[in-house]
Amino acid sequence: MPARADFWSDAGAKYKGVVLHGVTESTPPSNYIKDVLAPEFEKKTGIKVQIETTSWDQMYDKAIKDMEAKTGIYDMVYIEQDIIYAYLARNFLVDISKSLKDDPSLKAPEFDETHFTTFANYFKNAGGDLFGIPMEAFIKVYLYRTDLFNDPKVKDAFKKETGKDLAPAKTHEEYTQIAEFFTKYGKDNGMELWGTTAQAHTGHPASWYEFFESIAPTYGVYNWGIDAANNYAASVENGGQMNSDKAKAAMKYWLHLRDIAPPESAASTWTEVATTFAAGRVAQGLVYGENAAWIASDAEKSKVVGNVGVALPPTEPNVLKEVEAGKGYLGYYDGGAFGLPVTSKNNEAALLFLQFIGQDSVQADWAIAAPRITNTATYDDPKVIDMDKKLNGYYTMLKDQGKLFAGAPPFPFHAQVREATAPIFYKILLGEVGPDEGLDQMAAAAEAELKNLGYRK
Amino acid sequence: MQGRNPLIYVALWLLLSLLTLFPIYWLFIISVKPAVDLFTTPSLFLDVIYWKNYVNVLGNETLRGYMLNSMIISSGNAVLVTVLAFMACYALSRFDLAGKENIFFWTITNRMAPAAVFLLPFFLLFTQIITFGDWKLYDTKIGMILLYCTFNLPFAIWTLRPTIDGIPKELDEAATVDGASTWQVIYEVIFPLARPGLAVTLILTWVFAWNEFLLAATLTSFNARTITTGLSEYVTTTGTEWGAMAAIAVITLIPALIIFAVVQRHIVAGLTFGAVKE
Repeated sequence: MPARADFWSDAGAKYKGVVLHGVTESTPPSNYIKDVLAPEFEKKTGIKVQIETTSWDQMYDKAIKDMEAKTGIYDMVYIEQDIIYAYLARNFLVDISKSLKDDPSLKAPEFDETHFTTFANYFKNAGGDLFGIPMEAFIKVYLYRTDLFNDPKVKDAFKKETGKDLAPAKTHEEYTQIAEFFTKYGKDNGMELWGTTAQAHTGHPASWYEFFESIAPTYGVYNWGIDAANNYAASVENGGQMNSDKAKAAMKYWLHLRDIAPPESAASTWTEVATTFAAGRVAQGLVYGENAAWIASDAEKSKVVGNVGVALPPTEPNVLKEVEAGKGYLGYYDGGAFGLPVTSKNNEAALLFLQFIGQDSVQADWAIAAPRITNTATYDDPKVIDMDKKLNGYYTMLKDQGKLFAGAPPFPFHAQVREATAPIFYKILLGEVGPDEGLDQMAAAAEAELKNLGYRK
Repeated sequence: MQGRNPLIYVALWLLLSLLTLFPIYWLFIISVKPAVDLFTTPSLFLDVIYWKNYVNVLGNETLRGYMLNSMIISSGNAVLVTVLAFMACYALSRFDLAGKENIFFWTITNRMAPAAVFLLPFFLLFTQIITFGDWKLYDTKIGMILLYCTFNLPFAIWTLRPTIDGIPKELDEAATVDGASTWQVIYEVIFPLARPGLAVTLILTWVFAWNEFLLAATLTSFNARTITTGLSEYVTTTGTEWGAMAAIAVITLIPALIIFAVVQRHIVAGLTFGAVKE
């Protein structure tokens, strides 16, 4: 194939007049696509790109309606790694790897699937073909207030009370002790300060996710406690873990934290825990990494700028070793990608855009504007290295220890099982049912739903 | 009233006014606070006014586009609905139609189901059924103007009918005797007398269309997106931008407040017109 001086203008010439439409969640990475990458792409190719940014629920509602009804409104849709398996099961998405192999004239020289971090694996099918271009990737980390943890007065008080040195927790026991200390410290000193965040909304999936994505794995309960290889067992009785002793201990630990967290915790989703932390109301907490950058650096939104430490979530003894040995994970690797619906009327032009946002050359500025890294080369960019210092090593943690985190389990029944078990989960949070009994009921409800869906035989 | 202290009434009215205006005041307070202050101890008062939310919102070209779309759609719908409702009410009031009370009642059935029930049918109508070549009603202002008739027209008919019924039929007859055609009667006799009722209908319809979210969120994307759906862009995974949302809400209140202020006396007259028959 002859070398081309300008791939983008040559490739785009064929699609003059085409307007690509995409729908995505309103997030900093998506807004960067809308405000920066789409205009750049239009300048280079002549293909116009309109990105609709909206709320999470609206985004899915619109994308799914479009793909189900085959209306062809969208040429790109946002896909999270917890919905892609459902999309693949319904043949909603174009196989990007195959499409580029089938038509090499569409393949951009700068685009290479192997340049993505391992997070791209969440957007591949069993055959290793890519169905989404990663555009967001974060880990849910343990944030702590360095100003409090390093304050001699606080350290002395902690030592006096516990006999230990104050340092970021490595175990649940340490975390609980620190949380209890700060909640009491805040109360004793008339401060609006509590020991921990808790994403414990009593009627929103965010709390369900906090438990199964972030808390249960640190006790060694992975994949929501459902064993896909064992006839999708959820209950201990059938070989699952959803109501195991570990899961019950995890639930009690988390409920206790919820009880000593700020009062808004019972109404907190993933966004409010970040806001709570940024408002300086807690000493530590588990916070989605997409919020880490603004909490650590945006003085207009955060009162704790420059005082945010980053650490791995606390675990039960031995769980970290288990995870390092590749037998599990200790937190959530969150993120999303742009997929190409099979119903798109502009498949080829959309493939060009998807490659454009997947190139190494656009990644560094994107990572500065929004704390996400999807390509391995991005970590070595001087701008990103500089940003990493401001974030107290968040990017380094993502690079070196991202492998200890995992995305959603590869289940196509995420929403169904969540919805089947969530009402019981909320009852546990409301105290209407005890944690042991509640988890027993949830395991039974999960198995019934899996049977109903045809997974459990 | 006699013997009662008027100060009690003044105090009562002040209290009611405060209660009524407090949500708007609170909205304003949120709109002029930096995000970092919103989740600390709430205060009823402001130390510093932070205008950046307004600057950001008003400087956002996309949002200005949504605002213009909302203005066009709600104004277009209000005018269309008022004209159609006026005609319908005149017919129901003046013509001896078989089963007209049933027709009148039937119109309101469109408002009896929640709007969510109509979402999917409208989505299919707008994207697949009512199409002319590549042109569809989906994501068009005309589509939204027509769509809102489904819900606003029944309401308008029910609001306007007492007004038309309240205009004595003798006036029509007198005009007819003087040689006026039906259209002349409508335009020169009924229309001037029905103005207060028409004003109420127009304004309330406009407000309903201006505030509507659910249908606009599903049936618009790029070209006809309205300001209410634009608000959902501020509900993000990195936090709900309450300050910006409050600023937009305050801005969107302004046109409605202006219109209400201008036609306030018509509203009072319109709401009571025809209520008592002499």
